[in-house]
Amino acid sequence: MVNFIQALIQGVAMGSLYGLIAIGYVLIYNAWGILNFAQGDMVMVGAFAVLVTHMRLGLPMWLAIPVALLICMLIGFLIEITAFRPLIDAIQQRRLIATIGIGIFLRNLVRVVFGADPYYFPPIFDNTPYKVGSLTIVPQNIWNMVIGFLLIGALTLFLKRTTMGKSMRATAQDREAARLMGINVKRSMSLTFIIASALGGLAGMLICPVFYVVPTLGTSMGNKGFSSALFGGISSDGGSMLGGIVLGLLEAIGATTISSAFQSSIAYAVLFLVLIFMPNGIFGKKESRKV
Amino acid sequence: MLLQLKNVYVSYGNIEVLHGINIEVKEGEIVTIIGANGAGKSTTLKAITGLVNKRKNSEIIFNGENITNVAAEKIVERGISLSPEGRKIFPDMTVMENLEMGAYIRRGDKEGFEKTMKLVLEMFPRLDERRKQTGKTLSGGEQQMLAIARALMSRPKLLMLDEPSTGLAPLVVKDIFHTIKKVNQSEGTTVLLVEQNAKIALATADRGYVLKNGDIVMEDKASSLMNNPDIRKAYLGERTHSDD
Ligand SMILES: Nc1ncnc2c1ncn2[C@@H]1O[C@H](COP(=O)(O)OP(=O)(O)OP(=O)(O)O)[C@@H](O)[C@H]1O
Ligand SMILES: [Mg+2]
Repeated sequence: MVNFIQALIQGVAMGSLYGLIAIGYVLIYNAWGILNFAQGDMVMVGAFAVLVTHMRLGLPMWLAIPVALLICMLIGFLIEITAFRPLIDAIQQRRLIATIGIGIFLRNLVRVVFGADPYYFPPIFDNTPYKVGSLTIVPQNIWNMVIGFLLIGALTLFLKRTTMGKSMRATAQDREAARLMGINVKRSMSLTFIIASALGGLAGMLICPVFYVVPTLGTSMGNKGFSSALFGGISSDGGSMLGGIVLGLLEAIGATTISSAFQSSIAYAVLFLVLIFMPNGIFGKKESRKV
Repeated sequence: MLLQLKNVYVSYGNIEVLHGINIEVKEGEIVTIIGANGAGKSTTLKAITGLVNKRKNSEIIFNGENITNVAAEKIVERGISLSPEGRKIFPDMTVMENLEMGAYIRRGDKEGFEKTMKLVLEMFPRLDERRKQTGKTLSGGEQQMLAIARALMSRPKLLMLDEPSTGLAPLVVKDIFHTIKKVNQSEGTTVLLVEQNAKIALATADRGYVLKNGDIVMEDKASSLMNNPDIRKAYLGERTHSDD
């Protein structure tokens, strides 16, 4: 029982990071009608960005993370205006291939600059385990959970309550109608990519202390985020957060009850099962987007 | 003169679909453009809003300003709004949010927004009852009302409507055209109305243009067009063997 609760905490903590990655997929899918296969690589970019600001430039963590976030936003913006904006009206296949291309580009650029060897990154939050009754609590896990939930809450408020957020949703739902309303759709699209990059990048930074930082970090994290997003029904922000948590839980429970060797294959199993049996996800609604 | 189209040419790729048309709309008028499928009616409205490019020498003057090359997202600020073909309401946004987007350019003015919202909802009580419903769950008629209401939220000088009667039951059509007339009379909003339903369009409008294969082939008072035998034959469904 204790083991099980332990796994739950671990699962929700990891899952909220998957959720952050997943929301990036969802935001871009809603606005652009395709999965951005470079989204996972933004996670990796976030990890390397904080590696540079903290380890190389020696900035203290409280400053290193915001600066790294700005770097992620800038890179997200540059990718959007150079690679994606010119293809805004192109057929889906071309846009899809562009995202795959950007992913390959990012991975290899980072490999050229930093090499393929893994880097160690120190804990961001306290990771000394505390005993609470018979449970062992790692503060890092709690922090990741809190940050994940706060960010999804903030994003939801932004999208539902502010005029800027609403104009982003309007742009995602019907670009031409949004222009008729006087909305600057180019700016809306950029903002979408910037926010998605920031969320993915931040997840990468929080994941750094858990995994080694390597150029292929984005592939595994991207798959998890992508599975979570599909699990949550691809077009819903809240759903993808829940999808992330479900995936995190499945991984943690699978690792404790079956074998930790299975942990990383669980995301793929989930992905297959969802695609086969629940193409609209667990919380999925019918597609209402007109492409 | 509120709106003037002078020699407007539009092509899609190599195919020219508007061959230098001239249209004038005076302040306070309801003007209609009627024509068959593919005549270029929607293209005309898109040309005004900047959603399609015009050939050189085409000129569009609105309120004394040349707006030929103004970007689509800047047009509504000039005082033109369009209820587009196919309605194009935001499907996953509520009725209120759709209306709020209609007032996007006046987003700083909360007081004005509330006032306009009240006015618009009075015109469309059906929407008032459905404030929290998302766009995609509305019936066709309600969606059309929302598209018009949204277009009114920016308080335009010129309201352009692309086929508001499409797909609606005759009673709903009557209702909507009644509201259009009311907006024109009580708010003084000028209306440019594109329709395939020539009968109701001509009954509502002051003047009309007939667009055929990208050319304006006739222009007259709406009542005269209504009594014109050629028009009756071609657009009002009198006799089935028209030579159109
Ligand atoms: N995006 C486009 N690309 C290529 N051709 C187009 C495009 N939009 C319209 N056309 C063509 O331009 C011509 C005029 O179209 P338009 O939509 O303006 O007609 P319409 O008078 O509004 O017709 P309807 O009553 O059916 O709405 C048609 O032949 C149409 O096929
Ligand atoms: Mg049309």
